[in-house]
Order: sequence, then C-alpha cells, then structure tokens
Amino acid sequence: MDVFAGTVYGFSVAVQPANLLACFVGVFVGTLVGVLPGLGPVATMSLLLPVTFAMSPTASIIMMAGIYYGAMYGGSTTSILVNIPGEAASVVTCLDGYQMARQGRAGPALGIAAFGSFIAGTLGVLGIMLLAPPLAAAALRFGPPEIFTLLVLGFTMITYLGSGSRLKTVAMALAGMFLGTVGLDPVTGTPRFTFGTATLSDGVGLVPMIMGLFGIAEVLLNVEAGLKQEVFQTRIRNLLPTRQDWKDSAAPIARGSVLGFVLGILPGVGAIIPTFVSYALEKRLSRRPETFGRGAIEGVAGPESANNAATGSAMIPLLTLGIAPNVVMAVLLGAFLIHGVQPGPLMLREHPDLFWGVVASMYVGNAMLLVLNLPLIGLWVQILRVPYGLLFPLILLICVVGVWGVSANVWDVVIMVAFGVVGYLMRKAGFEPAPLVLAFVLGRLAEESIRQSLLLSRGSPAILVARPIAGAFLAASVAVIVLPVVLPRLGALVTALRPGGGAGGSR
Amino acid sequence: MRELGSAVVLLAAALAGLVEAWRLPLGSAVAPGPGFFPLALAAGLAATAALLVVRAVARPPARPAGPGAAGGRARLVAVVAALLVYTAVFSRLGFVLATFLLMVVLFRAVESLRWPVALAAAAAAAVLGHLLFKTWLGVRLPSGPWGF
Repeated sequence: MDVFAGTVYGFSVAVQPANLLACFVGVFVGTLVGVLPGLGPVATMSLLLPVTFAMSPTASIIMMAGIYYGAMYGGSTTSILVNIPGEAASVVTCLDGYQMARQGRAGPALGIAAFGSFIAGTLGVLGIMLLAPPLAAAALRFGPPEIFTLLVLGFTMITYLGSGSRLKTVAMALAGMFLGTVGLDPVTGTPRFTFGTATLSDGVGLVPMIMGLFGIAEVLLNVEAGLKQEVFQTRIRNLLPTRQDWKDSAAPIARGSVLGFVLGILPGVGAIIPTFVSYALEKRLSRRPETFGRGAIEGVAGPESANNAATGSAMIPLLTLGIAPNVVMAVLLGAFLIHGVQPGPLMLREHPDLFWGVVASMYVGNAMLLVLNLPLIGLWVQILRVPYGLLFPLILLICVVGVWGVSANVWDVVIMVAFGVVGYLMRKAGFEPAPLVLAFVLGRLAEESIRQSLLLSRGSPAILVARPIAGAFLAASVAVIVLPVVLPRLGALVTALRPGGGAGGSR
Repeated sequence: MRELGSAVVLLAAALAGLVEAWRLPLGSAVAPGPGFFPLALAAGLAATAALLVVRAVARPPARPAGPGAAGGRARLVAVVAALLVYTAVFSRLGFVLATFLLMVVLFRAVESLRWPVALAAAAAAAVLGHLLFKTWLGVRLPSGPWGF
C-alpha cells in the first residue's frame, strides 16, 4: 500500500463512529490532564490501560495517542494563565506566555500556542506517513545487534534528558536499568531479586512505578508546598493572533516543527528537550533577544510547536521498530501488547488498519483540539479554578484505582506508594524520574538483545561493529558523547585564532 | 546536607544491589549469565553514587531552597499514612466505604474543608468512583461484606 492509498484507507478507518468517539475522548481527556497540574499524560494513559480491554485495538491506540498530543495543547493553557506548567513539556511556555498574559495578551498567547501546536502536529503526522513505511522496510533487517546498538544510542541521549546535573541523570539511568533486571532472567528464567515473592517475579510493574513517580510524587510535592493556583483574572479576548503576531511567529513555528520532529524521533529525547532547544534557538536568532522572558510571542510559538511535532515523530520508532523512545511511548507499547499486537516492522503489513487508522486519527484529533482549545478555552479556565484541596484526593484515588485495575494486587498499590515517596525525595534532592523510567524500559530490552547477539556470534562482541547498521549506531553514540565536548573548544579555538576575534558577535 | 544525604542513600542502595547480584550465577563477559548485568549496573551505580558523595563533600551547595513549612511536612506524612491504611483495609471494607473514609480524611485533615462539605464531597467521590470505575469501566474493585 503506497502512502496515498494508505492515507485514504486510514481516514476510512478513523471516521468510523467508534474510532471517532475514541479520538474525541482521547483528546478531551488529554487536554484536561494537560490543563491540570500534577496529572500528566503518562499517569493518565497508564490509568486508562485497563479500560481499553473492552475496546478494539485500533480505538484503544487512537484514544491513547490522543491523550498524549492532547496534553501538549492543554499544558500550554496552564503555563500561560497560571505560570505553572500544566505538563512537563510546557515549562518553557511559562517564560513568555505568562508575561504576555500579564500584559493583557493572554488571548494571542493561547491562540498562537494552539495554532502552532496544530500546524506542528499536522506536519508531524505527515512526517510519520512519509517516513514510517521506508523505515519499517529497513527495520525488517534489524536483528539483536542492531537493536542493542540503537538502544546504546538511546542511553547516551538519556544523559541529556535531565535539566539538572549530568551525574545525577546517569545515576538515575543506571538505577532504572538495575530495577529492570528484577524478575525472571530473560534468557535462562532464573529469578532475580524477587525475594521469593510472586509480585516481583514478573518484575517491577511499569504502571505502579509511573503512577508513583509521576502521579503520587507530584501530589506530595504540591500538598507540602500548599499549592495555590492563581488564575489570571482577566477576560480572555483576541484569541486570533494579529497579522503582526503571525509575522513574528511563522518562522519560529516552522523551525520549532522541524526541530521537534527531528529530535523527537531519537530515542531518549521525548517532548521536553525540543522545547528548550527551540526557545534557545529563537532567542539566538531574534533581532530583539532582550524581549525574551518579557512576553515575546516567538518564545511561545517555537516551543509549543516543537513539543507537538515531537509527539508525532516519537511514534515512529515505536511503530517501525517496536522500541519505545520515551516514557509515554512505553505506556503506548503496553497498550499494543495488551491487545496482542507487537508494534514493529511487521505491523504495517499485518495490521494496516491499525497503523494507517491511528495516523489518520491524529489529523482528525489535531483538528478537534483546535476547536477544543480556542472556542472552548473558557471551559478549561473554569477547571483551573477548582481548588487543589478538592482535586488532589481525587488524583490520588485515580492513581490507586489505576494500579489496582491492571493487576488487582494490593502489593502493586504498595509499590506505587513507595515509588511516590521515593519520587518525592528524588525531586527534593534534584534527581529526575524520567531517565529512571526510560532506562527501566529500555534496559530490559538491551540486556536481552546483547545476550542474544552474543549467542548469535558465539561470544564475539565484534558482531556489534561488523554489521554496518549496528556499527553506524555505535559511531553515532560515540559522536553524541564526544561532539558536545569538542565543539565548543573547537569554536573557541577558531575565535581565538581569528584576527581581532575575542568576544565575537560576528556570524 | 540534602545533596550528601541523597548520595549516601543511593550508594547504600547500590551496595545492597551489588551484594544481592553477587549471589546470582555470573557467567562471563562473552557468555553473560543472569548475574552479569545486574552486577555491572550495581557497580556502575555505586561508582556514580560515590562520585556524588565526593562532590557533595567537596562542594557543599549554597543553602538549598528554604525548608517547607512545618505544616507542609505534617500534611505530607498524613497523606502517605492515609494511603497505606487505605490499601490495607481496601479489600476488607470494600471500595465504597474505604474510599469514603479516605476522602473524608484527606478533605478534612489535609485541606481542612468544613465538615458538611467534606462529607458530601467524600460521599460523592466514593459513589461516583464506584459508578465510573466498577459499573462503567469494569474495573474489578473489591466489595465489602455488604456487597459494595
């Protein structure tokens, strides 16, 4: 099936009433959890996993994906109006979005965030359609050595995932991989670190871990701090950006989309890093960098586009390789597996309805989100006014029921609470949970693939270099580590050698 | 203090992992057994944690962000305790009653809503939760001896 036929087929799947409803529920819930601080897409998708038992695989994945990209839209609303990121990928939007709101320009800020998200979201979907089929074809030739070296590349990327100390990020990644070894050994079936319990023989559950580290820990932090949400008390008007706003934002949206798409496809990056890179890039390119942090619309348009483009491209490694490049995709992978579908190179051929249906539904969902986030913005502002004291017990209840729903095992709830406390302490000490969870997911796969590789090569690690694709991935990993160290020095060297150089402003 | 404390705890956890991993069959670098990767990971973690300890001792950070209000810490402990008790009695009392009690505690003790508001909101949360999760979404929530 070529791209055109696939697209037409995909839309015929996506507009079936059940799938259309799933898409709407997904983007609606996504916007809701994006707006609410302390409940992000990861926890919500884990929560709704058991719900999808009763749905068709296509409708389930459509709904799950909708929650993810819907949350990207909703997160910006809270950032702009309350100066609290509703969702981790909209941290950067607070910088200029809130300043715009304070200057009475909340409307254009919300408007450009929604339009930028829409443009980037649809471009991202287009990118999936064009890139996924050839990548899936290439991925058919992937064996354990290719998978392992790709994961190595992912692990090197993870070390850039944290916004704080690099050493702490590495520590969290190692801890996550170690936790991933709990349970039965993937090759020999030997129990490891189970202490004779049945709960741990399946390994530490991903859902309790995520709900604890992201859901419970966030609530604990907010409860301790006594979170006060002060919604900006102005009428929101002029949602449609002016011609000048468009002129200022067009290039940032375009750059943000490309940047988000390219970065988002890489394992270990996720939707957060592209927003930081986009903000830095726009500030660097701007003729008026001093306006950044004081309500520059470019500082909203670029990052908001970047995070939406990244949500689209992050689907590519999952759909073509079966590898989850970020934590959200790990949950989505879980949703596929629940329905007995193994995402990967064969999926395009074996489940074309699922692949093309989900991708087409993302077009539909982005259009729905534009309506939900512009004409209906008032609804979400009302939700922001619900006091946290009423909200947080409900968030906790949802977390408990979500974990219970997956396994009906009380110990999993206890594990969740334990991870909640650990996550709270981690945040207090400046450790971030995302590298831990991602390494947890990828670590299991990495151990399995390296051990299979060594069985294949009868113990010779040369197999990792001798196969061209695997060798290229390894070389790329080395480049990721070496280049950032070398490049600034090289730049400094060039500047120093240039006559009259020094504090150069020349490009 | 916070830097040092967290690094020491991490180091202790890594060492415990190292000891546990040591008991598993190790295999060799070219034919790794079940214990090989856990051991290597625990060793890597221990090394990283040791570096963090050294860094915390060598460069104590400037005074970290101000301490949370004393009331904040108490609220925190109350929430965790309430969740653990809830987990313990959840299966015996059934979802609706246990949830009602948990919600009352959280609404009252943590955010001190007024009694009538707290009771009404807790009852609503328990009943709506039952309808939403059990009746509509089909989650297998436990029933108490009274059938709900």
